[in-house]
Amino acid sequence: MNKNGLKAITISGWILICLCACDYLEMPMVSREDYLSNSPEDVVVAIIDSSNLQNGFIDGVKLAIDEINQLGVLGKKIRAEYYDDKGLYSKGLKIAKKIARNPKVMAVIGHNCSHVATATSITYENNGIVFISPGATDPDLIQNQNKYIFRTIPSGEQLTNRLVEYANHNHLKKMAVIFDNDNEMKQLANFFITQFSKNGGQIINTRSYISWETNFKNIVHNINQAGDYDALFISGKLPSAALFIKQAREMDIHHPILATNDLDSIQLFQIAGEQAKNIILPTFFDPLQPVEKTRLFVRMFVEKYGTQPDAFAASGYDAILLIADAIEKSGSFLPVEIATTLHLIQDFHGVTGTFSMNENGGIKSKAVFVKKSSIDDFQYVERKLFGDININVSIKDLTIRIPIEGSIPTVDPGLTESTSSIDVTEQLFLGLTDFEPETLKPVPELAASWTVDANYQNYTFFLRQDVLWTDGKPVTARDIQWAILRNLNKKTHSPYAYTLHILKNADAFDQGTMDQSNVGVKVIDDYTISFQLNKSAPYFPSMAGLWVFRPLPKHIITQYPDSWTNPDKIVSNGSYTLAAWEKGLIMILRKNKTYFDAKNVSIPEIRYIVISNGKLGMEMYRSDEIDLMGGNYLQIPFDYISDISRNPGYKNQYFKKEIHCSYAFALNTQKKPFDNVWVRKAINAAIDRYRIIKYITKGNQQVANNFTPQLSSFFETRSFDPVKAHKWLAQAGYPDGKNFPEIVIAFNQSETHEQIARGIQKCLKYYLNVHARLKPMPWEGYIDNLKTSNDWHLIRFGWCADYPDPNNWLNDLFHPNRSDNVIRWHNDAFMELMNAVDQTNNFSERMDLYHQAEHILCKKFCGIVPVFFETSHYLINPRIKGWYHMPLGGQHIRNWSLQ
Amino acid sequence: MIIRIFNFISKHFKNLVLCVLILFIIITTYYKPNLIKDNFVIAAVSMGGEHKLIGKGMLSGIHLYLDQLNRNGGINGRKVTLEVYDDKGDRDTAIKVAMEIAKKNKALVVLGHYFSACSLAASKVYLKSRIPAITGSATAEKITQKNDWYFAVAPNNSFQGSFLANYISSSLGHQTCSIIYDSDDYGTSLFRSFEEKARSIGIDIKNVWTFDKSDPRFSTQIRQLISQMRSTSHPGIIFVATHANEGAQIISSLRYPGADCQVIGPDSFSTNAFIKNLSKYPQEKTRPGYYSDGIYTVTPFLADFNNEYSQKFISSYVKLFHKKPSWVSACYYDATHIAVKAMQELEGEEKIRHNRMQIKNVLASKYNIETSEQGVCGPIFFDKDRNVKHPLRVCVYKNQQLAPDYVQYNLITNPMGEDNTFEKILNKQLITSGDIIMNKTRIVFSGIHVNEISNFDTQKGVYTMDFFLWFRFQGEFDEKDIIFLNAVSPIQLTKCIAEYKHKEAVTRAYHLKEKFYTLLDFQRFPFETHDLSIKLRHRKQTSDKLMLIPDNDEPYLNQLLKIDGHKTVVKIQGWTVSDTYKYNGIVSYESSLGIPVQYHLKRPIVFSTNSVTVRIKRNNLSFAIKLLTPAFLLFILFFTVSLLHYRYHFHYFFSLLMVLFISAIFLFKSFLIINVSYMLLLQYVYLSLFISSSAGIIIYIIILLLRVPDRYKKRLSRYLRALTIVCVFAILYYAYISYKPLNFNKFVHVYKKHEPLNEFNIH
Repeated sequence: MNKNGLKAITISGWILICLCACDYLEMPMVSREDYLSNSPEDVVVAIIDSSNLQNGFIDGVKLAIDEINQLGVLGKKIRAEYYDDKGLYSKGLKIAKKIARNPKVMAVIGHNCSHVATATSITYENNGIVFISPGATDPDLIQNQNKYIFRTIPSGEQLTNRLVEYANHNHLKKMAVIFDNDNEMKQLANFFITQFSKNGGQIINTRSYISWETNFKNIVHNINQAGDYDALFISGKLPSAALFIKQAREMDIHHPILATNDLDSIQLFQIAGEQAKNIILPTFFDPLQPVEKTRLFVRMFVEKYGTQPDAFAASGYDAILLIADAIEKSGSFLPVEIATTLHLIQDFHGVTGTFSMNENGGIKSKAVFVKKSSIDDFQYVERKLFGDININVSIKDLTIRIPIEGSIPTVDPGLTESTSSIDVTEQLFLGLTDFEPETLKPVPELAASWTVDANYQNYTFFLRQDVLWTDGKPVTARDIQWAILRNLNKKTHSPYAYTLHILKNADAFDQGTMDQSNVGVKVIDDYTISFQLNKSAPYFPSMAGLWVFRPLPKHIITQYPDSWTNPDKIVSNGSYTLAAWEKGLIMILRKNKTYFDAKNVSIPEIRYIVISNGKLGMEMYRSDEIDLMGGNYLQIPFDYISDISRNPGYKNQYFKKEIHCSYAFALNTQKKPFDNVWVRKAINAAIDRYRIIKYITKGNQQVANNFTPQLSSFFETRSFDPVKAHKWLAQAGYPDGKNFPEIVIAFNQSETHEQIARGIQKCLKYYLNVHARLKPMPWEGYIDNLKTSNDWHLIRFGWCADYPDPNNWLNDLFHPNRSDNVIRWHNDAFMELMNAVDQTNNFSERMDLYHQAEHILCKKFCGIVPVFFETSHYLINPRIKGWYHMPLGGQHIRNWSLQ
Repeated sequence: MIIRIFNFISKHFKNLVLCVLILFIIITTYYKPNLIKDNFVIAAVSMGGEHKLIGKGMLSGIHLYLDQLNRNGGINGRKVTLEVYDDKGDRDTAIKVAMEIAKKNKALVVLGHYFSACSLAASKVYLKSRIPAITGSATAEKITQKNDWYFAVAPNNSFQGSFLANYISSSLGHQTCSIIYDSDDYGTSLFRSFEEKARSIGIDIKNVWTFDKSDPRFSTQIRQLISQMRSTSHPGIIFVATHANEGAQIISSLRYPGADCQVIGPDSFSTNAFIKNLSKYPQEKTRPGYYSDGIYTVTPFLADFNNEYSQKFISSYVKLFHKKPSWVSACYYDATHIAVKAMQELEGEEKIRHNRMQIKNVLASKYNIETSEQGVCGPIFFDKDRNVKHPLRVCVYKNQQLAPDYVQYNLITNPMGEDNTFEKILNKQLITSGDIIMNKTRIVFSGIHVNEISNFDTQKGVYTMDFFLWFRFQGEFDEKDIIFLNAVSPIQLTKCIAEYKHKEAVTRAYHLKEKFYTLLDFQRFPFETHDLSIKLRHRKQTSDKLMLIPDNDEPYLNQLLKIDGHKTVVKIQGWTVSDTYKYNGIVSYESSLGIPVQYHLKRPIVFSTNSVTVRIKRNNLSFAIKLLTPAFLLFILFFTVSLLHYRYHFHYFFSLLMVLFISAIFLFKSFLIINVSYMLLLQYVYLSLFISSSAGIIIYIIILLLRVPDRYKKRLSRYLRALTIVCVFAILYYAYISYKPLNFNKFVHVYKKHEPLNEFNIH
């Protein structure tokens, strides 16, 4: 026993020594100023929770402290000391006194109950500790003479003011007011009454109750007696106010109830249960407000804690960041300097919003949001999805960011030509028809339906009646007629006007020999328009979706003919409107609220960002600054494609799609020795398309054995055959290329074109021993050469479909009489087939005729050397859902969504 | 005090030892990591029965890799164990085996199966149970196409087809060809890819014949086919895309005296089965090579083909199995390699499903040359169908043996770097297959026959060799660019003693007598053998451009120089030839290629080398005995005197002095004779005697001077004697463990410091 006793003493002695060795003794009392001015070890901040409120305050604070401590503030870390005042005076005062004695504490954040905050603030003020309350809304907290007292949220009055605004917007003119007889609540009620009356509202009745009351039936009865009203305003606290609401609802009062911020708690639903409906509250935090910082905070919070942050979490987070900001700005740890700095802070970007401190320590110019309760949750109402347009700041969750190369020349559908313009036009303006992306069949868009006569020459379109211009005016058939005539007018310089020449008498109108009333476009009534064509065209519905056929706002264009496409003037009718346009930099489109199917448009904002080159684009894509690459947008550089297509990291992001574009070389069939068909066939067979694609363009394109992409299924045998090429050249009289004159390959100057031309040059040299000279030309010269000059044997010839019909390829490009006739031919068989096509409406018969024509063009006569069909390569951020590829360009972003 | 301690120790000796032992056990067990993770498991599906030989080949490659890995600590300290299964080369068994593996649920990766049919059958099981599998031999496309858990590290049939088409055009220079193919999967896929490639590179396909093995009229088909073929004039090179058996049958009726047609076959022609089948025909049996000589074929791996990645594998394989590795071993070595690489990147959860998924993803992420792993057959990376693509080795039969052809191909690492790639492709300087581009590596056979060795200076390691040197090659080759790595002074190849041409190949021979030197490993002193060698390489062309291969078989030169009759003569007193080795290898230098920006990025420049080594040995053992006998005698003496009773301490004392004196003489003499910076084993022997005896003497004197009763002195002297004996052994043991054979490879290029680096112009 004795021995054990000795042991016990020894052990406890040891423990004592151990404990003493730790820094257990209290620090000798030195003044706060002294301690903090001599470079303290840590920045100590006292965090005081009010656990009766059940909120995420502490979580928000911890998140902010973790974030700051990653870098530190002025080289120090913030150390938090946590307390809990449980919303009680006594507890709060005790804590305040304790903190006051600790010279290490520089600032206090917390006391989220107004009454505790007000009471304790005096202690902090007297002891020179910075006190920030992120929760107390009591106007009395902030007073003129205080130096150290602040808050990061609006005062009760500022919040209530927003309710008055809400009442105004929602035409709630007559109000009954009930308030808790507590000083603070009474003050708020008075404030509401004054403000509401000032704005022309009428107070029907005012009642008060005492917070310990549990039966409010009398009051409710009284209010009902006093007369008719639109809504109730309650200035009360939990739980009594919730109880009041419950009882009022039970007594069949279903009016909206406006309440103060104090009811913004889960407790409301716990007490009032299902009766807590249609209660409108002001709040200082909206997790979905269009501020990137807020979004980021919400994401981080959810990631860390698995729940959505509430208003207190956000304001607690802000308070920490604010104090860190003040320390950084003042460069000191002294409360007096920090407090002075805090008073001067302007435009602080917090997660609750941007605010400035006023001279007293409160905040000003902070956005206040309104929430409305549904069954067990609050919904934000009157939510502004967007702040002001800021071209530098975008919110990832709301915005799809699309890179484009070069710039967008125009958004005028009549002048649209470049692929980027086509894409924007597609979002802004509706066409009569649209293409079904899979089958490329025309489907109704602006038109609800259409009819056609038996010989496919007279079309009548019936328009939707719910389509409005963004200024509210209806879109009518007259707008279409006006637009078509405007585009046909030579003065407009519409690049696609030639497609309008399918209309009857369009040529004559164009040449000025006929009046516009004779042109084959007739308005039957406001919502019916008919077209008369100069030939039978079963493919006309596809054409009718083209940009030049789209309605234009006559009233705006006539008023501002040159500047009507500016963001401040433009009037459109598509799923998006033009919100901002910094030419050569960025274009921002926003959802069009007047669009007939607006409820199904998911992405609120589109940003077209001009990016100078593909490599930069790739970097931005990888760092998630843009959402997609490729296609008609900024192209993926060819060097990257083979890697991207094989890299499993891009497996669900990379897509290779066909587009209706051909890359070919036209042959000059008049020039010697190309007038010999065997020479042309030999040249055609000597070009190793596969290797040109693989090792020169590296763009993974599809080898083309014919010219028109829609007909490629008929031409699957490969054109490249060096053995035959050799034979054919011998047959033409040039065995082994002997005596073959030097030929000229012309192209418009560009690195890719030159590389391809060089590849062809090398193929001809290697397989046929034929010498070729390259002739790069500037664009204008190239165009001239295509049409008139004869100084070439092969010339680059590329084409992309305007509408999905071979007519656009064979007839429009190669008809010996009706087209530019780049290959300089005259072929009766081909012309006969073209004429036969115009007489036929049967689809398969037409395809058969086109097939025969194509065979003559590419094989029998061999007037053109197709090289490849272009392909589009896309990188699509997996967060984009519903994306699809449109072979003719111009996807509808209205069908996509963000995840 | 001291005595007390001694007393205490002697009394409680047993207890003390026990205590120390217990303490030791406790400490070691405590320090052992208490969380021992399980070993990783790899399953290998091999074959027994009639395919036993192949099965062994598979396993030897896998074992070689895993043993090396486990010896070096495994994967993050965890060992890899191998579970071996046997599918008997049979489809149904393969499925059973696969199900067993899936059921056991231990293996992270499956290596196998050998046959395409087995792999295909088992593939479904692996797909369903999500086990990554890697085959090193099955070449059917379907295996990997339909299963994204199956990977193949041997190039598949379609790659082979297009590679062969490329080869006959760009290397053999044929513009026309004919094709015979088997109508089964193997033949058809070879034929399709061959034909497609042939057409695209302008080979004229004269004729195409096919046959169906399963058809009852098969033999008639073959007969008809052959008669058609014989009647064709100028059929070009004939591509026989069949299995070994049918291949042999067709070859035997195709090649007859007077028929001058070249034949190229797929990888099935490079197997033993092909020669075995061919040997059934009497002509081939009586005169090996009658049919087979000059037939081209391909194989994924050839042991003659030494580069920086395969050299280590080949040498350790030869060391372990005493034969050259077959392609099966090499491919499965690669399969194991890539599997282990993937396992090394495992992280996170310890769940087998999760781990398998990660392995599959890592394998799939090796998709281009930058992300590839270097295997012994070539770089390992997978295309979108999870097949490896690297050039095959083209060989030609000679006396039923495969010899590499004069041109081989290598993958280019940065194909798009140059502007004229397209032109080079057209001109067939480069060949392509899909995304990969290959360039030519030239093969030059070089032979050395040593006639005489003389003037061997054992101190300096310099000797004179008289030898024949010859090169056999196609095209142009300038032997003046050959440099000898261990010549005392630069050697000029000026006087050619013979030159002749056989078909396309030129042979040039030289007769030289020059001084060379070698590094002598004195640690092995007193040595009984010496390796005297000649090693040469090309001055400029690196191993991806030129590879030297030992030439063993040179009948014409034999006739001319009578090499066969000549045995190497050693004109050094007391030494004879024990063995001669001819082998090729590599030597690498580091250089930044003279690019200023990359001065810090030294990369190896690798040259192919060819060497001959003559191992000479002493005529008798007398030398070693002469040197070591005194030590042995001294040791006996040392040991015997330690048994003397304490009272004969004068004798003891005197004997030790003698040992000390004699060993000192031998020790210091050896230092004078052999002037090297490290201790030799011999010196250790005498040193141990020297130290022990001197220590014995000193301590003995101390004991004698101690003022303690005699009985303590007695006991102490007993301990002392035991201690000195232990001391001898301890020093010898230290000598033994500290002995490391010198790594000659490390020294090969050290001695030529004046050699400027910019000489290695790699273009």
